[in-house]
Amino acid sequence: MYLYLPIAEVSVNLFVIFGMGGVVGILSGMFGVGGGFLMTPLLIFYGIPPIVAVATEANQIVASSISGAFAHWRRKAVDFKMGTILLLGGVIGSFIGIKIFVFLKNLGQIDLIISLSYVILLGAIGTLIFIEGMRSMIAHRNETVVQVKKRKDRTWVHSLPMRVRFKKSGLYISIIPPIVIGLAVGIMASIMGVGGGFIMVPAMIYLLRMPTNVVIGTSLYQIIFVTSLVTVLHAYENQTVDVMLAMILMSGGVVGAQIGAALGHKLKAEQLRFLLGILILAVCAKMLIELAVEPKDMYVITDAIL
Amino acid sequence: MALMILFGLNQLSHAALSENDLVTQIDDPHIQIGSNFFGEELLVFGAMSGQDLSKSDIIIKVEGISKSLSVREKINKYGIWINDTEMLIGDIPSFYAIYSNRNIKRITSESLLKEQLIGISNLNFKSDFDSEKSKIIDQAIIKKNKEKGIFIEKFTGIRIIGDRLFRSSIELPQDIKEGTYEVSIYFFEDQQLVDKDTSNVFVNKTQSGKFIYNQANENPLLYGVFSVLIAWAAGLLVAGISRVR
Repeated sequence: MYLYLPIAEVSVNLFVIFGMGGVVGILSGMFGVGGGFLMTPLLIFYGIPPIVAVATEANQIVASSISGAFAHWRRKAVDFKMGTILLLGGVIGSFIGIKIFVFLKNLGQIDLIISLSYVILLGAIGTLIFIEGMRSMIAHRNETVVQVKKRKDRTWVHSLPMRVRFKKSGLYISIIPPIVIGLAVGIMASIMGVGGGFIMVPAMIYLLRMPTNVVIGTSLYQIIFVTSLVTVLHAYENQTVDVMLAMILMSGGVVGAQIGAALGHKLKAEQLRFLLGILILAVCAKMLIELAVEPKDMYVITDAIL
Repeated sequence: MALMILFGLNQLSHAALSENDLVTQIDDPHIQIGSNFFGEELLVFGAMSGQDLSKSDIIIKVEGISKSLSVREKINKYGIWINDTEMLIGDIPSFYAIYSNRNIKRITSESLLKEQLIGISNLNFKSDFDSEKSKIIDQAIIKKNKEKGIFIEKFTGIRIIGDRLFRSSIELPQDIKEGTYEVSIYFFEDQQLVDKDTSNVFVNKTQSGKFIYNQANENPLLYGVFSVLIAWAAGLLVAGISRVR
């Protein structure tokens, strides 16, 4: 069944889009990742204009992060104070990101920058997950206990000024690092249409030394508001949020996430991670190939903005 | 697969009578694009009163409003293909279709075709750079628009029925833009243009598709907030469902 998307201005197969939402939903249910970093490239591969893919995916992430955040909130696993500081950075970052986005769009280079950002991001994450998965699989096979490095209690992060007490996380640290982390995530959300959890979560654990049980809930709390803002900014500046596309993705995502959560309990975690790493690297490779191979059309033709 | 709407047959919404009595009819001068739009057909038919059409030639031209396009050449830099600086090309019809009963080059002289702007190769795009380059770019635009189905040349696109009536169905592509389209019907005999009839067709986007598009462009802030509210509602709904479990 074909459906004409009013903003993307292309006809799409409803089931393909729903299926993409579902598959990415399964992955996010299994791995606890948001999935924006996979969904946006998939939409682009399917023929959705990159600027519409980015803005619409931000819209979808709002929905998935709300349901995720609620689950963590019920378990009291959200540090609202830390989340709000991260959000403050995220808001500033979103505005900066949109300005960069509009500037690059007017230069005619936004599609290139979106693709390049994804190649770098997916390449880095894919490699890390792949190595991690390999290592734990080998460790598992040899039945050796993976040595847990004792983490240093204090790093340079903890000697910065403007310290605040975060009761929930049991921290007394400067607000500068969380603001900077939030800012980076906000910029990424605007330009790439991702929630940024995969950057924020490790940063919270390794840089801020937050306890792991509150990390995901807190990042989801921040992502809700940052992606909400990014959606509004894209709609306002670029008119590229396709609400019809977003709704199909949301419904696919909901179904997928339920299946994924059920599947996740049955399969071995390290094998899953290994597979996820391969998948991410494959998407990265496809994106890179499209940049490097001589294009079929040597001219990019769009409506002139006068 | 094309959708054909044919409810204009009995309501003679447009008929033109000229001195030579060329009578033409467009079945549906108001085309509606819904959210499941997958291309439509515009039916054009007519007759020349009391005239045998077997020795005549007919050309139908459908033209959308002209606009400017931004063209960027892809250049290879550091191993990847990036967009070069922007070139603006003007006077490009947003839609251009030529339907005829045989090859237009055999119907009449090249000069007359040029004069009447019939045929894709007779379109004059406007650009302000050297002709060598502009020729290549014009070809690129034509190639892309042909692929998208917004530039069409169909020399077997008109059927003459019983030497009296001619009939043609013009394919409108899925991403056709809203607006007024000019339909010109040319009637030739012995290479000479004997009659010409021009009328307009209006293409409207309807239903949710048009509403969403208009809201996104006219009230972008409100539209953005609304999109976010939908996502919030969806997220809260899912959160509620999983809580009940």
